[in-house]
Amino acid sequence: MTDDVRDLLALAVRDEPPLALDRDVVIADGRRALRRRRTVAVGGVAAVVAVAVIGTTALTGGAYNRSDTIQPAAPVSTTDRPRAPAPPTDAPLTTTTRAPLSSNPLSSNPLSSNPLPPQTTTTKHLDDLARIEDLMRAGNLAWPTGVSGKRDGGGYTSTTSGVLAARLRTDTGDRWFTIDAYKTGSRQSTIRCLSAQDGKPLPNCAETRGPDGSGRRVSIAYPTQPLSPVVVMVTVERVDGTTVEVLDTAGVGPEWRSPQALSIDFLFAVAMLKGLATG
Amino acid sequence: MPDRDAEFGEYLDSRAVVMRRTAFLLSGGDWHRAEDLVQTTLAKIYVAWPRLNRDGSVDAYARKVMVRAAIDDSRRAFRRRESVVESLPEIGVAPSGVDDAVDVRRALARLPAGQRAVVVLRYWEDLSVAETAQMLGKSEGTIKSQASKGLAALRELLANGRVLFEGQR
Repeated sequence: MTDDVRDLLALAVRDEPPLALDRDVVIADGRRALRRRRTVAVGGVAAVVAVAVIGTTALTGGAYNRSDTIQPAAPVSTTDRPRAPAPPTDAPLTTTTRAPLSSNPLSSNPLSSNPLPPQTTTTKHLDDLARIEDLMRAGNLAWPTGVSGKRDGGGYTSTTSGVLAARLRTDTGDRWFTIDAYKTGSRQSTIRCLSAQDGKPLPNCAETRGPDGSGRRVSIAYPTQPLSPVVVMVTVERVDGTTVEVLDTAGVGPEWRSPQALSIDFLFAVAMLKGLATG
Repeated sequence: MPDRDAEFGEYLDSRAVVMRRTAFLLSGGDWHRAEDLVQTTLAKIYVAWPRLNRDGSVDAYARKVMVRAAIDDSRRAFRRRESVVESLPEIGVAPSGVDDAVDVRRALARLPAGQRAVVVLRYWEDLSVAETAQMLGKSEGTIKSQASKGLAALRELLANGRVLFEGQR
């Protein structure tokens, strides 16, 4: 009977379409997930230490700087959280445990220092969108005509939530836009158009060099199935020691747009924004 | 990291197609969702790669992640509102009749997600009752019961399939 059922199930998977998974994209997803996990772990340890220190201080009656007057606690409200100001040009994009990013005190920016950003909520999306647009504004960069940040219904569940991930609206459907900035050399770079496995040249991938000498790579994965997205990834190894990966991609479904929405030049311009410097 | 990437990449290349077939069955016959499931699963495998590779438990972990993701996915309200039956754009329906493969997919899609997972794990992945129970966190009795009900439902759906499915359109 087992064989019969198996044959029946085999019938269901007959005529399977070609696999459209992009190995580089999957590995990039995995790396992001790994970084998030490490960031969360460090954040958790820091929280435990903070609780221990505060608890010890409280239990010992505040041995240091003890005050007899109990101050009321500040109200806790997410709406009180300040919006990200227009970032200074050398503000780091995110915290990471893989490499020291910056000793710049501006890392206290609430969006860049939050060790536990929610990854699948509208809030995360809107915060990221605001941060991206702040960075673009500081770099005199605007969305191309016909493209805008999506501020309604932007919540998502995605495995590809990058360091900054925003949903964009176009006339023909939505796209995902992600920016990932890290210190060059802090992890394996994807600047070369060579397969990590066998060293062979990757298809639809080009390496160039920017006018300032930065290393540049653009990789385009074309879908092999209807409705699947074109995935465009731009990587820049900047001369300031920062590597930036910018992705123009989409989900699968009628609300998404399959073709890329942003030009390669625009993606490179984003990757070169000074505000993404990791210090 | 380069070692991890190379080893993981090798695993991905060798297993992605097989994983997608299982994901396809778990998702009730949707190649797009299957590919999403595989991508989600692979990203989680990447995170835990050193431990999984060392323990030789990559495939078991992959199954567990995929099954849970598929069940979670099917529980989401927006998925329930969608008709999986009608989201088979790459297959279509032959004008002269309903294709056997489509019949099976539709029958699978009509099974509850948990029951479908039991059928797939037991009869596609060839897991024992005990292994399936452990993977799904259920008792062996529940697995036997769900497998039996799942098969009976499949038989019934397939026996009456053409009338039933065509009646839906």
